[in-house]
Amino acid sequence: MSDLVVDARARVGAFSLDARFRAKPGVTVLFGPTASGKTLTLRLVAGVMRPESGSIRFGDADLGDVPPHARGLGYAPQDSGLWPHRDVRAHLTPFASPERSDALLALVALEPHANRRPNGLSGGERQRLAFARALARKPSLLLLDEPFSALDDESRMKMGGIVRAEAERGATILFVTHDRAEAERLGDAFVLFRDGKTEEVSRLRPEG
Amino acid sequence: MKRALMLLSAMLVSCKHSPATITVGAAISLKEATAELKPPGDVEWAYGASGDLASQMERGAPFAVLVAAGEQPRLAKIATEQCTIAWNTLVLVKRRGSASVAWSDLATAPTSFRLAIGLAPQVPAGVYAEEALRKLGAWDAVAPKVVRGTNVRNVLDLVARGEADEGVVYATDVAVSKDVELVAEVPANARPNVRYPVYVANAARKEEKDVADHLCAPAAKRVLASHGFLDHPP
Amino acid sequence: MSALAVSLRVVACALVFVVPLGAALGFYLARGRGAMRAVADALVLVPLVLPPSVVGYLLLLLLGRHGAIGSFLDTALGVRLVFSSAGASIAAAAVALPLMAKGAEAAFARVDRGLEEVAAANGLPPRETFRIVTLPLALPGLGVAITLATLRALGEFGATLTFAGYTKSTATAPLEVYFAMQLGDDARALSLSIALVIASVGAALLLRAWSRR
Repeated sequence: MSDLVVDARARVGAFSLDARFRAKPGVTVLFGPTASGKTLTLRLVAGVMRPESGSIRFGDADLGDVPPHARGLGYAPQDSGLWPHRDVRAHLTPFASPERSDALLALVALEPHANRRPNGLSGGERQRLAFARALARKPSLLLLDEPFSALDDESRMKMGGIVRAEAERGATILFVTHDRAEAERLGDAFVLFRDGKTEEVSRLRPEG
Repeated sequence: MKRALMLLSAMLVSCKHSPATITVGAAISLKEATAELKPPGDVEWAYGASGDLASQMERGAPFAVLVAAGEQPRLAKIATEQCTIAWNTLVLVKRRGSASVAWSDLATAPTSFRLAIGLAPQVPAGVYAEEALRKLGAWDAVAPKVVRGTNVRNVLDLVARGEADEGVVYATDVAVSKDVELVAEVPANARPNVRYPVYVANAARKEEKDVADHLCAPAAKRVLASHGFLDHPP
Repeated sequence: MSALAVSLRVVACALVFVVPLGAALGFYLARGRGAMRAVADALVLVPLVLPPSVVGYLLLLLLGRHGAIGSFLDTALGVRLVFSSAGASIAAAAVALPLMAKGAEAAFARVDRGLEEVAAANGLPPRETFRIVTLPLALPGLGVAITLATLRALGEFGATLTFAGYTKSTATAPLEVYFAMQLGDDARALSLSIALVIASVGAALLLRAWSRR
């Protein structure tokens, strides 16, 4: 169980990000309008992009030179990032034993589709697979980028329950969403994003 | 657009075909000597292995005169032999500075020894080399050690580069490469009759016949003699 | 027809080196950056832009018996490449490598980096990511590259003749067509040519099938 401390600057084209926040174990919701830097922040924490200045610390460790695969993460990107040549089950087996893979498929209700390729799945099914993959290694740091945007309310509640369960387990979770209700339902803490700047708040203010 | 069209028409000029020149085929061993010959008309020389040139001539290549390094029976139907312009001797050569293996020792040389001779039947030097080695009774033993050149200058090059340990070329070829040294002339008892016939196609034009006449005249023979060619059979 | 057998042997041997080396080069060209990559790119293109006989000549200067590297091969290992099947394979490999490398570069460049990133971010080490994500996705493009390289190696003439020479172990089908023609043996020249056309058409059809995947 560790705190994530982000204090990083990065630039993509004309967009500048200055992200500063602390995420304790539990769910920290990253909330804000589109293109405000939320996805960029997740990419920096994941290590697929390096900040221009500043640092990202998890527990005692500075993640600076640690390659993505060694950061102990689980990551579900916004577009799900599914591999077109591998079936549903094969998305989990590189990370978990066959038994655990089957258990995960059952958890996200994808068992019937175990042998399907991603192009045979609906948008919601794809998201559930990306989510299951992120959980596969029981990561201590979980990055979820709008993971349930294509799910119906019932599935969304069910998946949200799994996120809460991971939080109880002690994982530090960054959860990006711009669904206010979902944010309030799942979040222990909130980071507001606007034009590349962050503001830590303990609860979301009602819409003005 | 206009510039593209101008460029295109400028390039098309290079596709223009000028048949005015007279092409004469010549064995590649004559390369240096023919440069000094001054036949009448605008003459272009086409060098190569005599057999290759004769094949082309037979198939309608646009040259009516061929100075070959050996007889070309395939031309019997379409050309006549006008004269013999010169003769030559066969020699054994090696790369400068390497050990010599004499004609008589070729048969007993180790299997790793490489003797370069011309491809038969298209390279006369190769045909003559086989003939000489047969007369020496060495062909069966030497054949596995033979590597082939595509013409006599290619054979010379193989020896110069050391890809072949020794090679059989003409006496006149030795001076051409500074990396090649004479080992020995072919023994007298195995000496082939290396001669250079001038063939004229039966359908030759007047300008081409004039060139052939020039090549068969004494002046041309003197030029060749000055380059080391013989004016009598070896 | 032993000319075809020689061709197959020469090409197979050439591909053993061209495919992995070309694929590795292509991967580096697709992912590398900076001056080193620019130099590698230029070097890879050299055999492609030079006339084959020039490629053969350069090979001769380098690997001939008294060449820069060839003299070492000869004195230390007793290896002589001119007039050998290995020499013919080297000539074929030299002209086929640029096609394999550039084709592989295109194949790897087309792989969605995001798919690799999500693999790494979820814990797959680089080698696993390459094996499980990158390589399978690049495979159709690599198939195209291999086909093109094979066709080029099969059809190689100028470099083979200039470097490896013409002898029983280097007499590939293209060389034999040329020399059969020189000797007026049209039957042989034609039948070998037809065989080569069939091989090329077959490979072209394979190419279409690969690129459809």
